[in-house]
Amino acid sequence: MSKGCELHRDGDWAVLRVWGEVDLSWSQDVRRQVLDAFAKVRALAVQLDAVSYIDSSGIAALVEGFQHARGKGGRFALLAPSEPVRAVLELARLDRVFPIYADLEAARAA
Amino acid sequence: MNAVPPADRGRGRRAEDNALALVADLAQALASALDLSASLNLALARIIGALGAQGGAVFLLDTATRELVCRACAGPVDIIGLRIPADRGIVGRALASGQCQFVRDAARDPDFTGAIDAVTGIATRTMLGAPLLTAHGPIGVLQVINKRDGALFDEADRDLLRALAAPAALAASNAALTENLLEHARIRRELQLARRMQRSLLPMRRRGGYPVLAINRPAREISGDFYDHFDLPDGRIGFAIGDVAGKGLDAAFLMVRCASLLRFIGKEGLTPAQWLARANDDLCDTVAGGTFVCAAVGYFDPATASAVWANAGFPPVLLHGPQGTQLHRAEGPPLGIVPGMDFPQQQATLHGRSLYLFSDGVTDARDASRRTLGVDGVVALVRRHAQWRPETRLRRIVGDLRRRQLGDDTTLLMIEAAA
Repeated sequence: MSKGCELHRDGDWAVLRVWGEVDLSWSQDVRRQVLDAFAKVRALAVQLDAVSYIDSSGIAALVEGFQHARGKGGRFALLAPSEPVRAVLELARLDRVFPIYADLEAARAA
Repeated sequence: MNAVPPADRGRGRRAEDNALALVADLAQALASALDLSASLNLALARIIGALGAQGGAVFLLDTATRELVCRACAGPVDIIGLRIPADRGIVGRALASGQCQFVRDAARDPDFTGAIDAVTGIATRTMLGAPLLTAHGPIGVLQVINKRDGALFDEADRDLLRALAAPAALAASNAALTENLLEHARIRRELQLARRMQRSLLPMRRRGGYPVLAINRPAREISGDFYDHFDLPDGRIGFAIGDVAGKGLDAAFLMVRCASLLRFIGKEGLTPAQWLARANDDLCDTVAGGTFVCAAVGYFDPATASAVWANAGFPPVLLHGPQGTQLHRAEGPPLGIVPGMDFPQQQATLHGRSLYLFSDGVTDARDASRRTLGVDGVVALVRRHAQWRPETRLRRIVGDLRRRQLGDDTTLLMIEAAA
């Protein structure tokens, strides 16, 4: 099953596209990419439309990105979470924590 | 073929006999070695004696630093502990090539660095270096330098050294394995100790129809999940259940801290909403980035059979009775992420009904086709065993869960008013 993540720049934002099942076996890679991105930009969006499953270690990588942005006065957003990801975020009420947008334009405008 | 004079033939035979006896002696001594350095030192002393060499050393590879470390030596200068880069010098070449190095004139060898001579003050003229070979590749080098009589090492010397390198390699590799095993055993003992310490934090099971029952099964030795229950002076029972994000030692330490924090605040008798808000602010100040805790806390009053709780990112609280099932989803986010959050309360009267709280290790239990149980699966599980009395019911639910693949800590807490 394919899984992975890829970082690209879009103006002053960086977008980390993540796909597949995000679990303990490789969520450290997501975490590293998130922290690497913040070494270069002040605004990061994680695109989650192709994530089929996310466990608590994957959520922890996102929480770390959110806290990093909060501490440094940067911005952190989630883009277009898939149905399984949205269910996890809503069940744990992390929708009260993360700014969630349909796309980067919406995040930029917010 | 040249005829060998009878006298020389006798000497050759004696030398061979002596060499064979030496190989047999050292193979036996090394095979039963308990103290590797001591055994190698004794072996080296006999090897340089047999070869008429001025000095000798055993270097073993330190895989962490990619250096060769002298673990035994024989000769006028003690170089035990000396470290040289594993990829340089003639010793390095013996290791890299896995071949015995036969150097007649060290000064003319392009790889000769003189690094060891610089320490010993002895000029290496001629040298033999045999790699210590194991099934997992070379692990070191057995080296001898300079014939005492000024002659060069010959093929017979080389072959003898190769023969002696084999038991030395076995002894060194056995010692490394034993060290590894001991280290594993030590870590295991410490994890068991950590596990016992964690268990001692969980409340003792109360018998005689106590309304709160709980169970915690760690996925590994130590757990990031916890539960707690305690009596308040006014007769109410405080309860808490939580799940620290992550596995392993850091999660286990935070679990210990969080369980103590929630008990400490819970005993003040604040409302569950205030209880979680206080814990959240405290954890936001102290936990490292990316760490958070999902938890639900509340009180059950046996006098009125009423329960009131608040939920911070923990899976839905399940209320089950003859009239059906209700799910109360979390209204607050997990603890330790954003300070100043509010955690709205929920409540229910339990007459004839039971309250179930379960960590996500329960909903994430996978069946043979890797499908997760999900909240609906937990509801089905509770319904299937509803007719049993509380202790039996909990045991049967856990029994069903154990037939699945549990990748995470699993914790269940159940509250039921005495009939």
